[in-house]
Amino acid sequence: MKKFLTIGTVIMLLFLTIVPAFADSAAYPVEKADFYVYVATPDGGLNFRDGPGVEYNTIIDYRIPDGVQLHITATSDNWGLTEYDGKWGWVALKQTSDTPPAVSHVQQVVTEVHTQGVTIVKQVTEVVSEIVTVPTTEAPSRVVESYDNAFIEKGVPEINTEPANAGSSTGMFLLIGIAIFLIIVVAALLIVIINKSKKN
Amino acid sequence: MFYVKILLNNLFIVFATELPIAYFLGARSIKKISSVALINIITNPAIVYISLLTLLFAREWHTPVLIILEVAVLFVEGFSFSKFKTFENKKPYLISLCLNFTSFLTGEIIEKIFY
Repeated sequence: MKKFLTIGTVIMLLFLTIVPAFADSAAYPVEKADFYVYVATPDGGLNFRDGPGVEYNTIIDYRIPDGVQLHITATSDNWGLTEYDGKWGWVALKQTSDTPPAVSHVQQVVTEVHTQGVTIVKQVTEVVSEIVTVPTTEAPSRVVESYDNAFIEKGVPEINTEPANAGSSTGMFLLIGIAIFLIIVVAALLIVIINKSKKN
Repeated sequence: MFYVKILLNNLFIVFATELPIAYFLGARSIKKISSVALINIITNPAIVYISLLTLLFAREWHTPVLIILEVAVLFVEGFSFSKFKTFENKKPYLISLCLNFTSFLTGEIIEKIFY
């Protein structure tokens, strides 16, 4: 009995560990889109990620401030592909709005200062009165970007409307399907074995 | 990796919600808890897998398919609990409904919070 349980558990663990190794790391469905949204978050900033999900890493070391207009060129579930600060990445569309946020949010600005290879980013709520003091004699390479010009459209890349990596996705789905089927068979066998031993 | 993560996350949520409830409802021995865990290993990845397929290839069918699958899972688990007397003489289908409703609700809440 213990032997069966051990073998079954080992087989299941093997599938659970082997399948991810074969799986595609960048497969997610993408649909082409073309609309604008405004960042509207409860905590003043939106993460900019390299994939459509919170499990993906952030691309920039600060958050896109409220009020910034983003051009969404593709979607994947509730995530949108967009360009910000010269980089392409994904934002959670649930943290955006179709209309510009309230005036106080609009007044937010992003001050980005590059000094000695280190980027210092600060958000301020007053446009004029609050200026970031830079601890250096060098002039900042980029000064204040207001809500109006924070987003600069630089052209839209070609978006594949097919599911990302469609070919490998099919193979991966087949592999996952086979793995699930085998897991089901092993689990069913284990249930029968466990309950038979209970009767005995 | 993305889809496998989804499958594993869902299975984890189901384990985290259903096993403690199963324990409180009477599945006190390791064998009984194992039975509940194994029946979830049978049903959960399958339902999530089919659900993902419909999301990707037939989005309009997603909700009806999900409802049908959830009902099917309810009966499969209820049958298993009844056949192997996992919860002794308690109503197996009602327990199955209770467990599945809880895990489904937990999944929905987590999705609303994080996505």
